[in-house]
Amino acid sequence: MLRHSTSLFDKAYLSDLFIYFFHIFILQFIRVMEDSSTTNGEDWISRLPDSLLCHIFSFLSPKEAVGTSILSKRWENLWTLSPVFIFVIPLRLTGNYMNKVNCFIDYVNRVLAHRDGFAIEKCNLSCYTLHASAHLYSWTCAAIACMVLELTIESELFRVGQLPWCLLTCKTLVDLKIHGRFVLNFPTFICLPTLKFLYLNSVIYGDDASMQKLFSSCPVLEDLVIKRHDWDGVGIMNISVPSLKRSIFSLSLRSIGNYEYKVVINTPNLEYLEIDDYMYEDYSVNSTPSLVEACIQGTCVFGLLDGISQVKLLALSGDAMQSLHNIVPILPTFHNLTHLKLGIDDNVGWELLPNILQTSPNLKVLTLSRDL
Amino acid sequence: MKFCAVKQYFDDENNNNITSGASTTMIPLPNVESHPLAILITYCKKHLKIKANNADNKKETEKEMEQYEQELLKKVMPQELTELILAANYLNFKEALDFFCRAVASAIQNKSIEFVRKFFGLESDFELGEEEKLREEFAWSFEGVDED
Repeated sequence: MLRHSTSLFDKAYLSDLFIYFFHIFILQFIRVMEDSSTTNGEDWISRLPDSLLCHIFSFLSPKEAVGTSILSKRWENLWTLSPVFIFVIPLRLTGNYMNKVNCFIDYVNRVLAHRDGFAIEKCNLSCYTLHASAHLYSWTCAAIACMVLELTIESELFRVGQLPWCLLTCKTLVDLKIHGRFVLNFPTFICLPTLKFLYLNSVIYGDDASMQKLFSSCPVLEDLVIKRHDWDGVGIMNISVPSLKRSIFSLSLRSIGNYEYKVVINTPNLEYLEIDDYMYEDYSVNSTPSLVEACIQGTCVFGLLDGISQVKLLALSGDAMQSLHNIVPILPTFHNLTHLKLGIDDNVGWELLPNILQTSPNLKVLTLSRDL
Repeated sequence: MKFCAVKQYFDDENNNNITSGASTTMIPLPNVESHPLAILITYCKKHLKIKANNADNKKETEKEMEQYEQELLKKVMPQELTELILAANYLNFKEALDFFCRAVASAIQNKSIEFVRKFFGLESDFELGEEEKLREEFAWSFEGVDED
């Protein structure tokens, strides 16, 4: 408080005046500092329309997006309009297991119902618990109805599941990943006109024709990854896809019964090939001049090596080198090979190094690697 | 493609064969104020300059662009982000729209609801008990947030 004084030159008065204005200055300073970290209380975010708020959601994790539901009434269901959905329920849950699984199921049902056909860009459905994975069929239908572009479906491997037919006639899918014992054998018409990336792990095809039909129904397919670990009905793998540029095959199953086992690769535009196979011994590969790089692990047979003889970069694992012992006299010549990478392990396959070098007249770089 | 709305205007003009003979063309932008427009133009020019400087090196372009974006964000107040996002959306300038939306998302990432409300200037309009019910339903999404 300022003391009353009659003279401006009174020291005490001046001192009080100084303290008073200094106090005001400090208060203003504090207010300015607070304002710069908050926003003056002005509700600036609400001026953005729903569509732009959803765009912001696409940069948040699903957990954070859901958390915005309690900001205010407008935000309660806004997060369900986000274009990206990652629904993952892990294998092990702590605490009240069934309660958490049921909460998760309710959450996914609520999101998809609220979506009501409004477009979803990316959807990831990963359920490793029996109780939740039973819902994958209906959730896949809902995602397809929302014209999804990228879809991932993952489930535990000890249960055979079904997927809806609409999945294989979806006109919007660009990227599809399926991991689980799902039956993909449909006797009717199937077509995936926009699919560019396809990843299939442990899928059940039913028979040879079914697998061939699946790939020939993807007219613009560029990337294909097939992983087969258990019997899935296919003896002859026929990969005839004109648009294919990159493919990775990982085959670790054992042959059973009286089936014909053969791999036929007919891909005139293939640029990259990776094969990890210990089962098939009969390969028929239409050699493609477009092939740039190949990586062979597991058994390497003549049909395969001959088919990729135009490659520029080649990587062979220790096991692959070992299997070359049988075909040393008929090793094809690699005219375009400039880079060769060989896996070094306990196998004696690297004894064949001189033979391989002899058949690669234009080799420039040789790499010996412990892990391949 | 930057400023697609403006490009569309020029394309439409050519289609209608309007030849004014003037050296400058006036483009009406009724939904964009001058301040955010100035920032967007600077952003666009900087982006093109960095891209031209590092024509072959994509990583270098990204690194320089990130540095510039961090500097820009320090000068922009949170309230200004609304105008910038609306302007970038109207002008169909995807890179700027993504950048400013990402900036908002980063500012509220892993923060408590109270912080986010303060940051946005929002006030809760839930009835008594409604908010509690929602917190319970989505308890798993509020775990592991930062201290305010």
